[in-house]
Amino acid sequence: MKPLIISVRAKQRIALNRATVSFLRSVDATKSINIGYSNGTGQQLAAGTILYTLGVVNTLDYIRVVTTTLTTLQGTGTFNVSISTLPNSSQANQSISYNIDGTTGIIDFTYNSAPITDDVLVETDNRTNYVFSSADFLNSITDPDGDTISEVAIFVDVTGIQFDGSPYILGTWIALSDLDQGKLVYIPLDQDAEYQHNAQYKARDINGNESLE
Amino acid sequence: MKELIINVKAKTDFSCGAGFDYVSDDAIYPLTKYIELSNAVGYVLVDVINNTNAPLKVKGYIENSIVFDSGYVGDDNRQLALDDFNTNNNYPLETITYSPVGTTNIYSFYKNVTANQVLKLECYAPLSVIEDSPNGFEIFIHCPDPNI
Repeated sequence: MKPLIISVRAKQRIALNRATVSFLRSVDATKSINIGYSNGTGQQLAAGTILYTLGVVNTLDYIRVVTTTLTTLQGTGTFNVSISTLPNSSQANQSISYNIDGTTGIIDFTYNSAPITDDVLVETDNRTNYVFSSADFLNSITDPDGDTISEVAIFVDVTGIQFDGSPYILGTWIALSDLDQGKLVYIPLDQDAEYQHNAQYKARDINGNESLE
Repeated sequence: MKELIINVKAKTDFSCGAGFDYVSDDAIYPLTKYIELSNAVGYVLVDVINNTNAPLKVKGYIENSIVFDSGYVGDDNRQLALDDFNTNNNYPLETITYSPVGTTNIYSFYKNVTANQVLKLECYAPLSVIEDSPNGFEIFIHCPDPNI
């Protein structure tokens, strides 16, 4: 008899790079990221393939990871996924796992909270310029993560507000270090009756997260 | 977004029903006082006594609108000195209305709103008092009174 030889080759598994994505807590958001791979052997990844799902879409704590385009995983490359989630207000960092062709991939979720602002009230006398300091704002801003507050911006009515000697442009971000150099000044109207100037503001932390309300 | 509120207070030097003395020799030109007039409606009287031989001009403003201007009042023998001063400072020439030393001149305007307005009072007395002329100026601001 002749031998029947069955040759079993060591087929390479696809390797999936670990990915990271960041979200703001309490904010319903969708982000698109590219995930790297290697050792692809021509697997087809159809658009709309759900790689991971948790909870009911648009409800608290749900996560959904879906491919966005048809991709042939050949050799080395990337594929794109859309990640949607609504983290709760105290969501801790976490990792999720998904599977492609028997290989487990991991996506690390990191969370940050936006600064929380409160009303800022300052006082001056008529015909007396008011020079803002960072303390004027910092006394009314907290950050749940303890992140440093780096900037503020003013909106709605910026009449009479000057930055570094020129009229302040609505919505321009101002570094807190500039506030402490006395660059932000309010010049009151030249009138005798008392009045209130009302504007609104936002704060931003060093991670670039803006206050939400 | 949260509010950024800038409260601008109406800073005053004193409230109506009071006055102040003023000596032209140490005059700031003009000396400016801010007087709180209360919420009352009525005539506001400003008494000005010039105890010197230097002319004095008093101007009153509310919200940057002039409510009275006395012009220069006092010893008109100082007209040439006042002309020199105005000429040297590129101010327009003004005639002194004669008023004997010690006369009380009363100026008035009608405050017709209930808001607590502030009277801005400017006092112009650029000339020095000559020799033995006594004291300075006495200025008193009455509160609004509808029954005058």
